[in-house]
Amino acid sequence: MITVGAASIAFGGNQSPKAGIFVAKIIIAFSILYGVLFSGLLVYFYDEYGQNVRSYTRLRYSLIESLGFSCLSCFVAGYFVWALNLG
Amino acid sequence: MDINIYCFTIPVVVLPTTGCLLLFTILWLLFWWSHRGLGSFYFDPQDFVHYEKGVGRELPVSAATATFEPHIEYYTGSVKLMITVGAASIAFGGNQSPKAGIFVAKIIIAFSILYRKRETHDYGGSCVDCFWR
Repeated sequence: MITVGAASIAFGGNQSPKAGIFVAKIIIAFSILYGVLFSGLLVYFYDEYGQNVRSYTRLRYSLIESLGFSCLSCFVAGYFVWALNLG
Repeated sequence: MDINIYCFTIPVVVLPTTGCLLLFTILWLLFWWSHRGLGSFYFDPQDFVHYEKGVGRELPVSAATATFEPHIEYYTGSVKLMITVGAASIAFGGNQSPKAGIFVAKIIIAFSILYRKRETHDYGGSCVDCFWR
């Protein structure tokens, strides 16, 4: 996260891309957001699970699954939109 | 950057943001609804074997001693890769306007990444398919 933050501060916001590329970047940014939440919460929930095997409830399960698949879907969709706007 | 729809002017950022949030909400509702009636879930298969005795299902033999811990490493590793690639694309991508030949070469290289050969490694005595390593 430090690397991502430092790279964004150093290089981000300098470009003026096409609207399509801009949309793709926003979708990829959502993929990063969902991915960070997925990783953090997965480790946290597993840690909690180590203290109580009933702690991984339906709410938590749904959250982890949806964050994981949203991350993957946004990653794929972002580059798909990007590819459509190339050339 | 704005988009004009009839008499409304919508910032471009609104459309992908709404789409991404909607996707997450739909997936969350789908998982929430499809698992109704279930109280909690086991991360470790060995706990499912110990507490529920498999509830009549035929479980893999390895379930008796299997934990979720190795999968956490695979999942976080995959997400780490996606975050790195995504962040690099956001920071550096879309600035170039290469010649047509360079553009074609990049597309071909992109396909070589997509079709990357799966490698098989030996981890701790068990042979696992590690696509992301």
